[in-house]
Amino acid sequence: MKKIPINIPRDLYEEIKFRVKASEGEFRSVEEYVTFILREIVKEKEPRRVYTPEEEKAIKERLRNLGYL
Amino acid sequence: MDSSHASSDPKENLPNIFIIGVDGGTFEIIDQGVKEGKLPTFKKLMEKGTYGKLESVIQPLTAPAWASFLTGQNPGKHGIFDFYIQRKESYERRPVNAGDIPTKTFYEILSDNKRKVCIINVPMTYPPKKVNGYVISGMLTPKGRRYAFPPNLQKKLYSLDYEIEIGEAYSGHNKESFVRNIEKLLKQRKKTLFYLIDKEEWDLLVCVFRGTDIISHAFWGNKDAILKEYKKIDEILKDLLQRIDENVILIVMSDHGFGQEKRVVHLNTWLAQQGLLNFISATKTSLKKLLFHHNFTPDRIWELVSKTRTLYKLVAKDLGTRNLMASHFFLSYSDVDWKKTLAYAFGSVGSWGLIYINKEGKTPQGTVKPGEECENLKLKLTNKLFQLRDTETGEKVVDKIYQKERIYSGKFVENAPDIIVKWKDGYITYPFFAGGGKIFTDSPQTRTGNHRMYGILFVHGSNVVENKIIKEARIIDLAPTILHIMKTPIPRDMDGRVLKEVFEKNSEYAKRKITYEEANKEKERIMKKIKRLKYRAH
Repeated sequence: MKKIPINIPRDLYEEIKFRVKASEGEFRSVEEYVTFILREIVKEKEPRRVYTPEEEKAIKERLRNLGYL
Repeated sequence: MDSSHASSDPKENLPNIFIIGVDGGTFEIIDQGVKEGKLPTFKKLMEKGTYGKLESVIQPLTAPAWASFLTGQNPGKHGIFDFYIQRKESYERRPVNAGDIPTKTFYEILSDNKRKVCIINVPMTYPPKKVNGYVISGMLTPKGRRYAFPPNLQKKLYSLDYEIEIGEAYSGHNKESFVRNIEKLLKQRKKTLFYLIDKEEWDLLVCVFRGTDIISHAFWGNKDAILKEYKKIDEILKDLLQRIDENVILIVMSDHGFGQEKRVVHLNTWLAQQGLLNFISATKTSLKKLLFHHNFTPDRIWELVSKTRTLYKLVAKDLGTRNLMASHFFLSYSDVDWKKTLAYAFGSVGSWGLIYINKEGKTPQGTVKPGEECENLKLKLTNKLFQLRDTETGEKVVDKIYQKERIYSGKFVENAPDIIVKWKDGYITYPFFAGGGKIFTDSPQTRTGNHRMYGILFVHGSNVVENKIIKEARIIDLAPTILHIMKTPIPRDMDGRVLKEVFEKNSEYAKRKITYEEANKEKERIMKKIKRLKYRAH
């Protein structure tokens, strides 16, 4: 995957570097740590209610056809 | 398939894993087919690999079983106990979906570790996850929605005439078209499977065939009809073995087994007779009760309608009329007086009975205090159930009764049914309101088979012990076993074990130490902070 450099303040870098070290191998580098956080933040929230009421009815009907309902 | 292997890091020399799911696959049929020489590839898998019964989960039903396959967890951890989840603080329920599984599935873990994955038609994978590879979601996918990842894959699937499920129910007089549609579906799935196998190299490929389950429900009394479907799976496995190289480990498995279904237990009717479930006293409900006791129930009406071809064609397609009839004429949960109800049965039609206590604090109109009162009621119910006898044969019908705390562990145990009944073989539960006031009725002629606890497992490939029967393999063992083979640390919250005995003692898979994921304390800390941040943003 192609990467591009970005700049962050030195004190923040040092703080993260400390955390990376304290994580005892959970993170291997500052880059990995920062990427993890950013990915989690921009990741879409999984919709909890994925079926519309009509789709719920249709799925129930399908389960009824299969003999489960 | 190219003989070079598919891993994104060739130096590691990892195998490719192909899993073929045979929904409802059972040895009762396979043993017969092998004996009669009708299933030569299954025979080959027995001779050249390790095989045995695969224990499902309680209850052995499509949704919880596949969720346990995907997570390696017991239902108490993933929270899928049925096709439905009860809405919070409500007596209503909704169908489950992939978003309800709170932990990462094994294919997501492999994808995160840069392995290429291809997941075809596995139940409980809608909505499809974004992975390093493809996901085509399976059963419980609504029509007309995006069911494939990446989105452009769906366009290709249109050109392969891909369909997820057949729309037709077996009515008793549509055997020809019903079987033809299942055959058509299998052909489409096979075409898609081989197209995707040829298209790319996969570290992990999973494809589920559902026809064996559908056919077994409808025609259990007709083993030849079922064997025909297994024979088609056998042919697919034969073609697959011809295409794949020695670096592929092939796993053939099922989510549960199958057996005969003869009698129905109407659990809510029994609870009503015990005075534990009561109806509201409104005129409409009284009328419905009257109709109910005159056998005016959805199953009975459906049976009558099914007998007349023209009427069946009219009603089967008219969902609106059916729903209208259901809400106006048939007894349903909306007629239950929850303030006067202590226990109720919920769930899908199946070989297990699931009873919930109407607990204070858990449901909107709970009547039973948690603690001693609840425990006493459970004990009373358990004792009464053990005494329950089939009104026709006089035989006791309960095999085992489980308490949820004993069989499940994890944060969703409280959502599990309070009493879980395993009927003797041949009995199934109707958890809603049918049977016209009788506790026992015969099963409809259109359904002669139902689920059993033990499915199938075959493992074939390099380093796999030949002609060996594996004992005590469970569906929850597959996810950790696959991660172990793929040299990927196993999450500590998986309940299954690595099935090391499948592999030759001197093989790397048997010798290699099992590694578990380290506790992600820093990641958990970050996630908590992000969660708070996102919550504020919404």
